[in-house]
Amino acid sequence: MRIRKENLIRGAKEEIGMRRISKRYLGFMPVPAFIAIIAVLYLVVKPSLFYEPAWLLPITNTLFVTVVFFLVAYIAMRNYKATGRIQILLLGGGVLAFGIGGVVAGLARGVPGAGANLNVTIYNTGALIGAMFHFAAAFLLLAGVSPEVGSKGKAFWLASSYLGLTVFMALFSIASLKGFIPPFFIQGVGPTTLRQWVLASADILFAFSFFIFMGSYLKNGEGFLYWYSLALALTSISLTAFFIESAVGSPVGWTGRLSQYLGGIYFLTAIMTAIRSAQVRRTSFDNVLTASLSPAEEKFRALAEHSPDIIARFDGEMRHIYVNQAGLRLYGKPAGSIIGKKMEGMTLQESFRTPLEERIQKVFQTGQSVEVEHYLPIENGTRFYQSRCVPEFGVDGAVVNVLVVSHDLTKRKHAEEALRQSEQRWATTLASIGDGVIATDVNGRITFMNAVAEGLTGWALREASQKPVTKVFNVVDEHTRKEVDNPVTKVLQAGNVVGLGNHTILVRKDGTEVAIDDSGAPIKDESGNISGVVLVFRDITERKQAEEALRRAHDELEKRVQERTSDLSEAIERLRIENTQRKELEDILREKENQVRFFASQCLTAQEMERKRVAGELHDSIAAALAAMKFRIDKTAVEMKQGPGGLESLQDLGSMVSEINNEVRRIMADLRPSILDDLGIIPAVDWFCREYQKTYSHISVKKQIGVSEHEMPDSLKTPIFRISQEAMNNIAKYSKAGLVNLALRKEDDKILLTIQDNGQGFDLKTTKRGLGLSTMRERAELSGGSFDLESTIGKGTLIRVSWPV
Amino acid sequence: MLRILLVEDNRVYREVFKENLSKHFPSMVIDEALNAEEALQKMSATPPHLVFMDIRLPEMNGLQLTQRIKKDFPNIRVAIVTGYDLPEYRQAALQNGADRFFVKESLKWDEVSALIKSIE
Repeated sequence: MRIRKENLIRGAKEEIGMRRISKRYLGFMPVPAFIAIIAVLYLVVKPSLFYEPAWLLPITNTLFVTVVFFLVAYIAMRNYKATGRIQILLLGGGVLAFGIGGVVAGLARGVPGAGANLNVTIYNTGALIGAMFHFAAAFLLLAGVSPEVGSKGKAFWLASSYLGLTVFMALFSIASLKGFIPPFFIQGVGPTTLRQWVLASADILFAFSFFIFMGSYLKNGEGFLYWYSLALALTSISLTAFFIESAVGSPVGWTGRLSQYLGGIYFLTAIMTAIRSAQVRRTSFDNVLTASLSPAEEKFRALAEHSPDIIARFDGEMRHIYVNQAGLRLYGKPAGSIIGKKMEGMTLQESFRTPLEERIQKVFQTGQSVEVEHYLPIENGTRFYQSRCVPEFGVDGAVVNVLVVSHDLTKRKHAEEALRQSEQRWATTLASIGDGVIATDVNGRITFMNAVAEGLTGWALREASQKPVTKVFNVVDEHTRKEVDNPVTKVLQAGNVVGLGNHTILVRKDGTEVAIDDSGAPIKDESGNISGVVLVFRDITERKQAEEALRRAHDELEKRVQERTSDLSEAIERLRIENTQRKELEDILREKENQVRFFASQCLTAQEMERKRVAGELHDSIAAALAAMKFRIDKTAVEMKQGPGGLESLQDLGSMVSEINNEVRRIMADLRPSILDDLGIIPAVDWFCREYQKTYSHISVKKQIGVSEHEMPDSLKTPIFRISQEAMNNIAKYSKAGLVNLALRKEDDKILLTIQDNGQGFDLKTTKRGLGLSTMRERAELSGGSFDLESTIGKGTLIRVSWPV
Repeated sequence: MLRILLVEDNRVYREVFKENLSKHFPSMVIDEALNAEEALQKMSATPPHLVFMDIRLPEMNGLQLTQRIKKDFPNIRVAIVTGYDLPEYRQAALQNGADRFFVKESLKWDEVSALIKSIE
């Protein structure tokens, strides 16, 4: 949408431009048209044909030449008075001379005696002077200079040109009338050669002027130049027509006149165009004219008009010669009501106007540039200006004008104020910050320190200012005690933020030390260039101490953990060993348990066997004897009923009871001899040996007792008795021995039992179990003793059991 | 009046023995104890003149009790009456201080009477 709108606007602009250009081309058309018409008329139409009523020429010349040229001359004069431009003066003089020539020529017709010669003389002379003036102006235009006249010489030059021309023309007319001037026209003969030279010269000068003006127009596009150059062209064409015409009033002559009249209209059009341009550009007519005629001015104008600064030029009378757009905005008036007027009386405040007026005056007096700062109160605030007043020198070296360039400082002032406040704020911030801050320039010289930095370094800003930062911020490595790299240099080299290594110690002015943590950063300006360095640092003594304490605690903890770990390792190793030992013990235990189980089962088996044996003995001997006894008692009771007697039977009964009693005691003794419990091991052994001897009379028993009863521990009595019993029963059963030696004695701390026979002996390897050997060994070991058996085949067996006491 | 203490844990034998004594010595005071402890209590209360005791007794046996009596009550006569007719028993009884040794099975009442009479 927006693009379309812009396109439309551009299109409209182009359309307007086209129209203007086409209008201008249309304005150019008369030039070739008149040339063509004149050429045709000159070649085709009979020279005899002419029309020249006496009343017509004065009217047309007055209207199109005199009035127009005087008007243009007047406008030029005004402009010259305002600007002092020589070019304008030349143009003005040119049209004035031409105009005067026209007037005098018109008047001369009616002068008797003067006639056509005066007419022709004065007109052509005016034309030549006009052409010369224009060519001079054109020449200046071509040279690119626009000389100005100072205020003092302005009136003189104006008078010299305008008045001088008028006087000259008047005198020239009189001179011509009096015949002092060679004739330009001879009645009946026609124009003289002089007239033709003059006219041709004027024509050529106008033509040159046309080309120069047109060339200038083509360069800067000023409408004024276009129309002015065309006016010059038409003038040149008219003069050409006059040059070639056969007679006054001929078709060629009239065509030339028409061309001249149209040229007059074009002069006016040029003026109108300049006025219009001034309106469009919101500047003065004079500015437009000046701009049109001066390439330098043109540049100046482009710069000046669009400059945000106010640019004005003042003449010696302190009148405005030029004010640019910015200036017009300040005045709030159109250029027309400012140019040529003084500042005084304008709606400008004293504070703005007076200092400026004084300085302008001073520049006029001294020829030296000056600057002034002044201000203008406005509705909501104040505008600040910095004005530079520059002299412009005339050809005589005097100050002609003063150019004033006023720069609006308001924004800068505000910016400066904002900057100042900002700086104040930053300064306050830095001053109240908890860290030390030092700023340096690019050379590492201190420009700022805050209070904390002063406190930490021991230097006051006032004494540290401009000192090398290394002197004030003297840092060394905590461990090596060597100087740490200058942080400022580091930052300047790196161009970015630098964290300065740990373990940095700041050596203060008084030599004391502070542990610090610091960093440096470059200060960069808007374009990114480093303009200094800022250091930020802080006292980390407390933190260091805390860290140290933490480290120590950590080490301690570590140590304890290690100790504990080694303790644990030892404990684990111990446990491992214990475990191994325990496993071994368990294995042993298990083996023992198996043995115990084996023995337990053996025991149970033995017990059952024993019970079976006892039951058998009770059945065979006791029960049978008791049954027999019962039978005998019943028999005795019958006998006693029948009569006296029965005494024998009772006696028999008594002996039977005795037998049973003996039998019971024998069984009891087999089971467990009570003598062992009642009397002890030695009586028990005595008893057993006696009984053994009784039972096995072929075996001789030798008994040796070398210990008293009270020396025998109770716990050994049963094992000793049973081992002896078992051994001796084995001897009786298997050994075929004739002698048994039984010895029980105490030796040192041992109770020693030996049973030796002289029997056949046996092979220990082939005879494993059986013989009650394992039972004996078991009894010995269970009671804490050691069992030893030696047997030699053919020589007997020795059993040796010993118990520690 | 003669006091006798009979220390015997076997009820049958104790009654038979007591019956026999009473028949032979009607005026005799006969007390009984089932074990050594009871015997010592009764002896402390009223010391008898003569004690008949078995060797096999629960807890402290007759031989040990004999030793004790001979130590604490030297005037009391002790007669061992046991079922074991073995020289070892006889020897042990006499060694422990018993005044007499009788075998139950072959107890001769004449010898008992003679003993009692010797005390009277």
